[in-house]
Amino acid sequence: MRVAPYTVAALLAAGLALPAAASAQTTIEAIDGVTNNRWSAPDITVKVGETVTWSFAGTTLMHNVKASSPNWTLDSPFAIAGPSVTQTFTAAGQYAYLCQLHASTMTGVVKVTDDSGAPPPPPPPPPLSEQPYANDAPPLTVFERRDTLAPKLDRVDVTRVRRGVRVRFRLSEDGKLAVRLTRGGRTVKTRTVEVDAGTGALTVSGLRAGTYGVQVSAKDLAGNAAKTVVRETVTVRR
Amino acid sequence: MAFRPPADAWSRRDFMRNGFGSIALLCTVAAPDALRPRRATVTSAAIRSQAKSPFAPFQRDLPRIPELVPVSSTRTRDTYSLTVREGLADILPGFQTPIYGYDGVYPGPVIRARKGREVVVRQKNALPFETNVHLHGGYVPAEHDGHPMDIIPAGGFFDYHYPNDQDAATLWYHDHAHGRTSKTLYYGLVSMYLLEDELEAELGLPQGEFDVPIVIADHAFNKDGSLRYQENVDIGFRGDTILVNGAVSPRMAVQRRRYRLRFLNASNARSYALRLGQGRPLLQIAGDGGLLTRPVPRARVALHPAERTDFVIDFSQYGPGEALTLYNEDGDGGTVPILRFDIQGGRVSDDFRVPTRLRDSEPLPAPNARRTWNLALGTAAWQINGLSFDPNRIDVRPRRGSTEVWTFVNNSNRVHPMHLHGFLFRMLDRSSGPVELADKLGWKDTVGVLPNETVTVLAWFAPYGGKYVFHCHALEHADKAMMLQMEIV
Repeated sequence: MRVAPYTVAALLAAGLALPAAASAQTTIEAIDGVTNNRWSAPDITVKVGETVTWSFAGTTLMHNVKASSPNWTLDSPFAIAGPSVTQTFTAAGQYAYLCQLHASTMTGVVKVTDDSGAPPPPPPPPPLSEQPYANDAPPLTVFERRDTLAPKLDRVDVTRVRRGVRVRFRLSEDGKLAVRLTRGGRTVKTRTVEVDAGTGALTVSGLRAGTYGVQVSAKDLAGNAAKTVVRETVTVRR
Repeated sequence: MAFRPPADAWSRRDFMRNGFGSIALLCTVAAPDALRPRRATVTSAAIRSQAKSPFAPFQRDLPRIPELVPVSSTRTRDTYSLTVREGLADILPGFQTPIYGYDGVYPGPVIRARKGREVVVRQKNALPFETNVHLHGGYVPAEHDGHPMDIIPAGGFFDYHYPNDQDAATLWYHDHAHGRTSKTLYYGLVSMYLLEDELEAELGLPQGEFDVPIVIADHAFNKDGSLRYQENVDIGFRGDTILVNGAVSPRMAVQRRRYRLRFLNASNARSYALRLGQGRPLLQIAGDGGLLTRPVPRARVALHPAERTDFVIDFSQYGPGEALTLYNEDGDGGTVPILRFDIQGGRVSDDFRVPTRLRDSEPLPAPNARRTWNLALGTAAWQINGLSFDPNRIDVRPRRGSTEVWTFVNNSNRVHPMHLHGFLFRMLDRSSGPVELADKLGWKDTVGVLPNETVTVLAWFAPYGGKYVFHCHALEHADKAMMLQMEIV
């Protein structure tokens, strides 16, 4: 049997006693799969003092084996059909391992029982700093929120002033007010202004004497048009 | 609460130990729990945080990254001082998260530089291990570039000189000590460096509070609120939560006008597909190497690790109370929402139009050489042309001032964002389809080479000579030696 060259520090970190003579041996083989690379026997149970060997013979992909629970250390180099890795377990417990390159499918646990064969004690729960706090936010469904509520335009009052027209109005939200003046079926002037919510007034001046059709309409800032469109007729004098 | 450094704070740096044979990391993972001070669990903040998921998106306002103020200024030079140290960040409500940070904050403070004005940054290393600083995308002399072997020892400092002799661009700076970047960047050594010039000012692009740097990175958390890192050498780290400027998928109150948003993907290895709600246009004006020759409207923007894109988004066509979400189309669960724009009331406050021409593209010399780089999982780790990083070996010697056609051939099933230190390149060809127009119209310093794809670029090795590296910016790949060395002669 090949004895792995462990340093004293590594042994202490692993919480293992000095190597004891191995009495039995188990081999776990790495197996390449088209969709799932796997270990031949991912979860095995051995007794204290027994030896487990991870074998990579015959593989064509790169693998390694690495301890994934904090109670032991094992880390083999990445290689294709690399040398086998051997570990003797001298304390009861559960020892998890994986292949770092195929961590989704190549994981396993070595359960080490004491001499009586009683199942090993479950591992102590890891501290909060090693437990995942998973993001459980529900999936996002709304990617855009548009304002679909039409504003209300009322209290529209159109009066003539000198060479012009004055429009008073009330709009329920911030928006744009449009005033269109027509004469004889032709549009002669349009004015669009951004206005605040509430009452307001707008004067269109510079008109010649005559009779004009006045159309007052409004939109909110999101572009929803008010249902009310006011049409009146005003005669402008000099 | 006592500071507990992230779980993998190494006490010393050793190139060989940081390779696959490292037991240093394993020993810290296996350290007795009693050594770690634990926070008291029952606080009002902890109770509050349990009432609602701290991961619910759009609960916090987008944090504005602080801007660094020079400690001294002369007619031609600004001097800054930064301390690389441990810090605590408020990321999840009710928790404090231990980080590494420039001045102890995540993301680190923004440096705003002007073309033609030299910047000197004194970086003091208050971490218990070595660090260095790489200005990503900058034309920087080799000794100030942050080569993986040029390090600042623990307790030491280094004055980085940045000449800023290049056009305006969104750059960033981060740790680059070899073998460790996947952890140090994950724990917060990430910051923006915005280089401005007169051309940008003449174009009238949004400035000041309307020019917003945005750092995107995916993270995961432990139950005590600390960052959770799990090494995955194959696909790289993937978190389940997106942090934007250090907040979980925040919201941003915007006025009804145009904003310039500068996005940086500071994730270890995650690529994003940015998209606005209903496919509204993102007007891209700049990439890694500064302004494009003209703006390009895009519906979906792939952002690979270390890439930057600047957009102008027009919010004047939206009304108050409306909201628009920027999300990651390639995401899953918590990695879908990125940022929600909440449109505020008020009048439209600008009449700026993005010019149809931004800048002229400069003529380049004819290519001097053609080189092919095969990217693959080799016999020991991630490799380029079968080679792993060796600081004592020069892999390629381009001539200074010349251009070369470099072809990256990806023989793996992973994305490799390839990055050249100190130099920029232009995109020529992609085997998977046409090159994005926006990528053709500007300079880049990082290109995401998709699985089994071949990407050809034209690299320009100017203006500085010396030893630089080029590498994959999926940090787990770079740390596991997917990096080669070039000397410009």
